[in-house]
Amino acid sequence: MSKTEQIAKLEALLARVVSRAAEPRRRPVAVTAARAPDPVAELVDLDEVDAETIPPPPVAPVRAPAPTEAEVVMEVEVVQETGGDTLIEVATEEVVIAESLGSRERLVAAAPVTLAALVAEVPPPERLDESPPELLAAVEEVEDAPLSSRRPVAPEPEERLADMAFGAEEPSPPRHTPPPESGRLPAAPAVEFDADVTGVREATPIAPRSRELVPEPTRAELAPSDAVADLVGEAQRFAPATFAALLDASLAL
Amino acid sequence: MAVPSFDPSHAVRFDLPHGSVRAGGDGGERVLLVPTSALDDLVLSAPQEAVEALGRALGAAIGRRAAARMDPKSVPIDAFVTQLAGEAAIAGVGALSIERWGRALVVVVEDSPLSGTLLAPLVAAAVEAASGKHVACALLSRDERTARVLLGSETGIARAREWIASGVPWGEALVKLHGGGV
Repeated sequence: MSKTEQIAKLEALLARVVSRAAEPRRRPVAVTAARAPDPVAELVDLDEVDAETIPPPPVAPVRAPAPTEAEVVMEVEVVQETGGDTLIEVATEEVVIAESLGSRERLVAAAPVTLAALVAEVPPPERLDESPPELLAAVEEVEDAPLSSRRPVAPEPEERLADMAFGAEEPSPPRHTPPPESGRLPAAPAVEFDADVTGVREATPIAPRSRELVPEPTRAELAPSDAVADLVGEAQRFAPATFAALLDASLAL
Repeated sequence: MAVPSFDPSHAVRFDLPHGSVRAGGDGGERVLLVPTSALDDLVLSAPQEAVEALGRALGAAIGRRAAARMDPKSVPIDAFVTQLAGEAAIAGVGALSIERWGRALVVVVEDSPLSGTLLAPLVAAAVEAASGKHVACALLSRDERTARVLLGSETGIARAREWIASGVPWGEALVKLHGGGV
């Protein structure tokens, strides 16, 4: 689809939105967050719907039992064609979100947004090339996390206030604890393990050692003997008889 | 054979009316009692040649008195040492003995008040005077109590001094003096 066709469709969309906005409303406009997916009567295979003309999905108009607020659901369908062009269609039928569609064409319910604000978010025609993803992103920003999402879901403010006022059933542990203080770490609490699992049974406590060292002598018991020495060789042959002979020998060195 | 002991009787005569002291009896050499501190000052201030000359003079006197007590040519080693050590003790030099390191003759002096530089020429001169043979000496070691003096020929003593000066322990120097074997 060319840009001019996109511009034409968006202008038509804008005209429809403005005209619908001017009509008297039967319910106050409020868009709530997407609820948990309810069972639907019939699932639509969106891959089959990826055609040039995409009718709105045959969602059964299941209404809430006692809706307190009317809901205007903006159904945004994004069709990714093979050529890379993107088509956005917005259906303004008043339906109740009763099911979750596929990931590619998800029925999105934004946070309470006035229709005027939504109209104001429509970009000018010259920025249409980059606006569809941004528009979709803006819508998805307010999307609640699905049940399978790993994102942490914080309790509702009302619940938190109620917990603060009346106390929670179980105080949740602080999510952020202060860093440990420097210095010696406290000893780990004693934990008792099952001896059948660890295999350690009734280890005797180690007796505290005394600081004073006591020698433990180990002496060999040797019997006296006069046959210890075994001389090998001869004693010094030089044995001068007189001091003069000794002095002569020393002088001869 | 029993070694004759040293007889110190009348080895020193003090003539108080004349104010003289003589060593070796009536006709003995006149000596002077000198404080050892005076000798120490002299050794520290005098040249090496003067100190060596003083030591040799002191030792020669001791050797001559020891030679008068024995026949140096035929006296056994222990008898020679006994007489020489006796005279050295009278002079106050210290307790003299000898050690034989193979063929090398080492004189040991214990509890001597003299410094090594004065004691080595003294010992050499004493042995030389007592034996009648020219002897050279080298100071092997000197600590607070013991001094060892090697006696030998001029060439042997010169080699031993050279080795000791180059850092060779004196025990190894004695071994090398024997040509590597004892």
